[in-house]
Amino acid sequence: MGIENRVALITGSASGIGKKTAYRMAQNGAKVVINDIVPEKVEETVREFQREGLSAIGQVADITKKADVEKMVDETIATFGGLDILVNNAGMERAGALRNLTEADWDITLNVNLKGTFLCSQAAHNHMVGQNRGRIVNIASRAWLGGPGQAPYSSAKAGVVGLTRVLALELGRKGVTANCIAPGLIHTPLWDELPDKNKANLLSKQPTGKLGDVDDIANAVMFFSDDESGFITGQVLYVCGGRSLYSG
Amino acid sequence: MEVVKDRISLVAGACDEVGRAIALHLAQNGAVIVACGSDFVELSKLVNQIRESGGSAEARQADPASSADVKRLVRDVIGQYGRIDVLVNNANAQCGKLVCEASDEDWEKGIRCNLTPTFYFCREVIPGMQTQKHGRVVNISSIDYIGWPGQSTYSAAKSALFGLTRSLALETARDGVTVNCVAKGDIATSQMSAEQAEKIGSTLPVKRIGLPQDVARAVGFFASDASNYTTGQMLFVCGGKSAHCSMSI
Repeated sequence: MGIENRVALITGSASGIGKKTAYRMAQNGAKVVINDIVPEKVEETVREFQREGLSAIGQVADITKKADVEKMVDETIATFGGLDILVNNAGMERAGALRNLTEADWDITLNVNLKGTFLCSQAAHNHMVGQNRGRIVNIASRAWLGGPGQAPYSSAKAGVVGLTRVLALELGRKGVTANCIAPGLIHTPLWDELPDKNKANLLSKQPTGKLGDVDDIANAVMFFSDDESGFITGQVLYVCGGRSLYSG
Repeated sequence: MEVVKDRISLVAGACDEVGRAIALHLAQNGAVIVACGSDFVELSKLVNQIRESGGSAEARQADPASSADVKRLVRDVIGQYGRIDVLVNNANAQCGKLVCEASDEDWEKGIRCNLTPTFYFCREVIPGMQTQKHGRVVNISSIDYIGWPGQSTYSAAKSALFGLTRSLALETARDGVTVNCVAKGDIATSQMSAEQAEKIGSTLPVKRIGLPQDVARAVGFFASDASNYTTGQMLFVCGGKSAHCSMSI
């Protein structure tokens, strides 16, 4: 029942959606692994969690490197004795018109968002399959539907959706589910930095007229991560205030 | 996580096993259940079960396919409780015929039993939710909406729920109301033998058939405050079966 005593590895969890998700999971009794590529951010987040009596360890790893990922998963299992939940949250975006995008823009966006999800899932699934239980939750984006200036990001997130369905089909018989959350506009520090004109334009396209909160994504992750969600796999849930319902 | 405590929850189509499971799940999480359907005996059994577990529930008999019945029922419920917070539309009648063999009556019955009640209930309940600036509507569809030989009217009705859900979501988005859809996959019933259930389950990616409680849990998520920012969505509770299909958006 629930996620109590489950071991959850959340990539990119030293800030934003990942941090809030890890926090909520830890509050609900999970043992969480904080991951980021920046050591100071990981240390600070782990300290913050531990000060509140939450069970957390840190793992500094570049998820685009297979060796880093394997080490992170191995050390998680060595420390906590298992791995039950993987949340592939780490992501980044390089935006720009097609003619202006560089090969480096494409590579880094695909590597972090898609290759990282693949490597982490591959490293985690062996253990999950062995224990006949596991939950993989991938954070995609509503942007996988396509948007001007988002060629690498949309492509990477579309890849995450396809990968999720493959994971669901390959791992379903082993008690491992794989689902995807596609966030829309969420209130993060990045939003606060946008010019007011851009904010108004984006909000005007929101059916709800509102931004989402990092808690909204954390709630959806918790739902898919729960032991009782075993009959739900291969799905994409948009948490976007209805923005996925129309284009424009 | 599923915050539905004290929410007045109208479960339309509470007589079948999925409807019962939904009502029980919401009641276990503290909701006040108004169980609606055409079979008062079944409704009463459900209500007794909820009350014996310490929950709060009452039965309301009505024909979900009757506009007048639905209007009266909703008026009475609001008269008693002052509001409806959660509406679950689970009216469901499996009806299988090949398209070319379906009569006018078959078609009309398929739509009347599987689609019309959702329209009637939404039309009566949603204005109150808009006024109170809060509401959760969860429509129960089926993976059969993607089309299946011999399921013509049923598939058509369940497909229509997809469009209805999205339209309603857009119409109510600024009023604090969310409208979502749960598409159930292969779900075990008490009429099914263990062998049948196992055979069906073996064809699914998760290698087990679904239970009414699996559907109920997804409904619980959409009925709660955990899903504030999710509207107009369809979530398949199908053991991964939908991953084989090309579907929608």
